[in-house]
Amino acid sequence: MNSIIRIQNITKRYGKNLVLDSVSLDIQKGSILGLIGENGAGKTTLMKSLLGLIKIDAGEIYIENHSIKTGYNKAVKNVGFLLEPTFYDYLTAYKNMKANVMMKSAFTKEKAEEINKILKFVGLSKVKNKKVDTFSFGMKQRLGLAQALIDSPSILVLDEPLVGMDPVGMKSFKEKIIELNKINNTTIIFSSHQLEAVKDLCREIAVISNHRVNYYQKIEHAISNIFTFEFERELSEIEIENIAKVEEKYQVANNKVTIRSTENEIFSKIAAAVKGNIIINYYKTEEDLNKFFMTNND
Amino acid sequence: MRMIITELYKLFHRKEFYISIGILASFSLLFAILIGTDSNVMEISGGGISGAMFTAFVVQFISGFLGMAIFVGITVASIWSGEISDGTIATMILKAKNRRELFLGKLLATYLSGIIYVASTIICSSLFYILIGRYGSKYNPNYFDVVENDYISFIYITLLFVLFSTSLITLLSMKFSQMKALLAMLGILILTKILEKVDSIKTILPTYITDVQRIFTDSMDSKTILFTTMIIVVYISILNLGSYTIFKRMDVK
Repeated sequence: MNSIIRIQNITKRYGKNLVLDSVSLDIQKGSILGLIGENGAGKTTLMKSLLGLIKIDAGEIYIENHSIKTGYNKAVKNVGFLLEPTFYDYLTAYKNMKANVMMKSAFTKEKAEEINKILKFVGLSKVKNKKVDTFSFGMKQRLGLAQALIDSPSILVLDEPLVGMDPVGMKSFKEKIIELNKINNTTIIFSSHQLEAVKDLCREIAVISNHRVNYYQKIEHAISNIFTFEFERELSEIEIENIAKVEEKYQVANNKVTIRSTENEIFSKIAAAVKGNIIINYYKTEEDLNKFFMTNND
Repeated sequence: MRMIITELYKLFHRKEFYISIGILASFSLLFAILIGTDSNVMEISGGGISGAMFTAFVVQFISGFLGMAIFVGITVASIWSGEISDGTIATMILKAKNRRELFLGKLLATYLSGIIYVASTIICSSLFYILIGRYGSKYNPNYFDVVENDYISFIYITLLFVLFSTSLITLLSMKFSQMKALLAMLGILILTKILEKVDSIKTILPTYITDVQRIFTDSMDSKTILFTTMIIVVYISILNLGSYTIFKRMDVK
């Protein structure tokens, strides 16, 4: 197992308020993990704890095998992040990036070229010399992503990056994320309330509810397909028992059976469960992630 | 070093920085014009006024109504409180080697900004006095006449005062918003000014910290200067230690 981030039983309280309760996650290199949960569940706190911006009360966090507590600098060396997009409004986009670079190293010609390249990647090269206080929210989000990409991080932590974006901006942003993951094998941790975006982008999904991780699985296991079969006749008890052996989650209504399954295809299994060639109609729909969220968010 | 350079880079792009220098310079210009035109608004007794005396007077005037503290406070509060509340501190925490490096870098940059305010006031006063004040009847072309040693002590105390104010507002910025930190700092300095009049408290408070006029009315020997410096340095150290302790443990929410 190639874990790049290990979060082990972390707990955080603010006074008597429990914010994170023994949260554990093991994130693989190159994965795109979607963090979902209702407001106040602890997603942002978890992300900030991961970045060392919030001190945890118990547990351990390792990034690339370096502990946040004892080897912070090494742990976050290759981490880029986008939380709320915050900038120095009195500086231009380019100068904001420059200030960012200057904090870590000398500002060289190579760094200047890197900044121009990143700004072009996020679609801000035409406005790079405009002050950030003239930017729209979507532009600030893109600049935030640009800042996160300085120093070519191997891990990206993005907290609600699609908030306030129009559909075109959202599409472009998602494409950039996928491109980063494909080309550089960047590990991406991405929280959002936009479940469709999570479904489109993420390979794994974690649900945070009541300050704990309630569910952590590959996304194809999280979202069910709904298969509807229509038969020539009503099914016998034995045939219904056979179907139950294929998949537990089913509903029978006269000559129709609806089955919820994480498998991609079950036609042949159902055909084998019934006597004769009696399937007259069959269709499949994908379950909405909203339903999954509601089910796993107690 | 990286952090100091970055902070100064940001500082030199803030318009408030230049506005503050401009306002401070305008006092020098105003008084130079009054002296250069032998205005009745300013009554000057005794012989001529040297450049050093004029500069000392301008800085004392500004410090008297806590003007220096206000401008330093505005700058320092925006560097600390402003960045903590708007979240830009998060990027700095991740980029710095550790929070200690970040804290020291920002602290030294804020000290430098205060020194720049004092230095620019001194330079502008000197320049305006030489260019404009020369036309007045009280003009003394010998820049360092009359107050040679006192002038050095006076600048030194002013700088200490600026460092003290910087450290004070840094501590307040760890907990309060920009405006509240500034108001709290001014409140504390005014209280210090009042308490300095009480003899029994004078020895434990940083004496002359807000009342630089005393440098000319009381004679300050080297022993007193050393003692005053030690008290102020202890206060500054306590303030900085307090600030760092809070900053080190701070959760960036």
